[in-house]
Amino acid sequence: MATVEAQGLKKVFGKNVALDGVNFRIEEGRIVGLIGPNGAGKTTALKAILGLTPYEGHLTVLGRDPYRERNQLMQDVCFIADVAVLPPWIRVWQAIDFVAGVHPRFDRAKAEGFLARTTIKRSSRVRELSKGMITQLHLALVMAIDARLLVLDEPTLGLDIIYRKQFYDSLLNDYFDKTRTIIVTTHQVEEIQHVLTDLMFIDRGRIVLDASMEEFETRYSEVMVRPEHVAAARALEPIHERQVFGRSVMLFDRADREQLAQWGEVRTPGIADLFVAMLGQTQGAAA
Amino acid sequence: MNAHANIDSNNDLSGPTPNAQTASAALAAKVRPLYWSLRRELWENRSIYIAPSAVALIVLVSALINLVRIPEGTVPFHRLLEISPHYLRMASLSLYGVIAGILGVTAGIVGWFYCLDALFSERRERSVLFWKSLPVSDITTVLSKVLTGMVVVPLAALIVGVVLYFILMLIASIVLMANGVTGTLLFANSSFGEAFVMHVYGATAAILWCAPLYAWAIFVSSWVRRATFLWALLPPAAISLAEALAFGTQHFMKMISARFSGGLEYAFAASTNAMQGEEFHFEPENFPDPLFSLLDPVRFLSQPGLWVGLIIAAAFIAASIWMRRYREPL
Repeated sequence: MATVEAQGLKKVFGKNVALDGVNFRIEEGRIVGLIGPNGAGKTTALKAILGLTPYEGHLTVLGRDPYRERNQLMQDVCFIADVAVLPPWIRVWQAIDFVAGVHPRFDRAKAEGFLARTTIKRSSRVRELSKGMITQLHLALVMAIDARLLVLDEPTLGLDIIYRKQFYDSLLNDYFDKTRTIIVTTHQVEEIQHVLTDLMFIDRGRIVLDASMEEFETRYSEVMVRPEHVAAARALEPIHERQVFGRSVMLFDRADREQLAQWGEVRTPGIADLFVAMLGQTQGAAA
Repeated sequence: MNAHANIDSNNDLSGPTPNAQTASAALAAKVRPLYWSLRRELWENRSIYIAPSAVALIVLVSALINLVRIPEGTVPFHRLLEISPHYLRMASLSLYGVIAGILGVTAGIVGWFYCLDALFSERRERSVLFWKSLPVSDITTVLSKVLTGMVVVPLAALIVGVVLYFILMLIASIVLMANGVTGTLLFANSSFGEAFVMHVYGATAAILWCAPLYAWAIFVSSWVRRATFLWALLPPAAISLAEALAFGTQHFMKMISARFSGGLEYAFAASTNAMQGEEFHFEPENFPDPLFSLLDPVRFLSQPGLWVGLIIAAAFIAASIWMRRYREPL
């Protein structure tokens, strides 16, 4: 059974089509990056998965209808909507007590263990904590819940690089295992490239790329082409070309790597570069 | 592995029967989210107990100031022994009544403003997304807020009121003792038990009677984007104005203002209504013994207005649950 399965998932706000009948499947044990420009439908897709918004089409999460069976679903699903959603008035010990009180799968000792590694005081109110500390607290609460699906919507927004790195390191080392599934959206794509197992690009309500990281790595190649080979390389129709220090960097889809290697150094592109290549293009075409 | 399985099954035999266990676990699973939701309201809204305590403190301090300001020898304390116990009882009951009244009004105001903020503040601070990430249903959350505004707040005021009453009675008794009158005199004639039952009855009646006002406040808090107070007043004001302009009548306004009495004119026997008139005299015969003859639950429960109000309140609460489910944070 797939953790999330969507068929013809559609959501329309007035005249604005947020999700245009998308199909996708997320298997258990994957870490999926949902990448797209603002307003592409990422948050709408996450809200549908979390049962926070009604939708058209077919969607199951852990075998349940997320909208109708939301209350049962939330036993197995956790989410961090964005950084600043912990109530400012709550004290750290109150937050722990509350989650321990209402969540049957919360492991208090585990949460206390995570917090012990930080400088967060148990008597502090959330409004007294820094943004980074609030995220640490939220993560400590969420990671102590034995959930099967974790949804992260811009979990590191507004955090500095050290906290962002810590966030994903804890997630991978202390939380993730093969029975859990994580869906994450973020604008800091490069930082999560090594974290993800799957990649999904979404643009104007449509999924424009749905690939595992292995597929992504074998399918796309980036070459910094030596000037004398530029014409030959262009003949192979790169999906994107940009200039770096006066040299052409070309991105190819399903090209022969050995052939590319004759023209320059070949490497796997960054997610962000592929993102710009694919979505920059479609946006250019639309304009 | 097999050895472990055997040990586990042995342990199961020694425990309670599985059916009883699952039944109580299922009940606990239903009650726990509500219990913790109520605790969360107390953490967030400390005014629930601070406001009545502050009011009680003001009453206490002003009582002490008055006590100190009594010139020496002006009150003939020794003559208290000569007056009838009925008068002492009346004094004690009047004290209780005044305290219950002051703290009842406090609870009403605190509870209503609590309701007006109940579903609004979590949307404003976006913490609704955190609460919704936990397995607590919208029904449980909204009901915990209804219970807080209509039961927890009055309960806090009740406890504070009783404590204040005993402190004042104690102070009065100490003053009596200092003036050579036996200290138990007041307590012996206090009829506290009766007063307490009357208080709980009256408070319950008032809460039920005012339920639509509270439910309206919660409903407003579930959908407005800003200025909750304005939105709570605007629609009733608009309806009243429209009615006045169209028909020259004031039925809607009267219907709402009838709620402010707390329905006490129906909950208590007709004779007590004289208390509100100017011709009421503080005479022992106006405080029947026992007081319970003043209770008139049959008349209260047979008021159509009570049931209409409760139906309207239920509709507003149901609508609030619906809004909690569908509304996005601000």
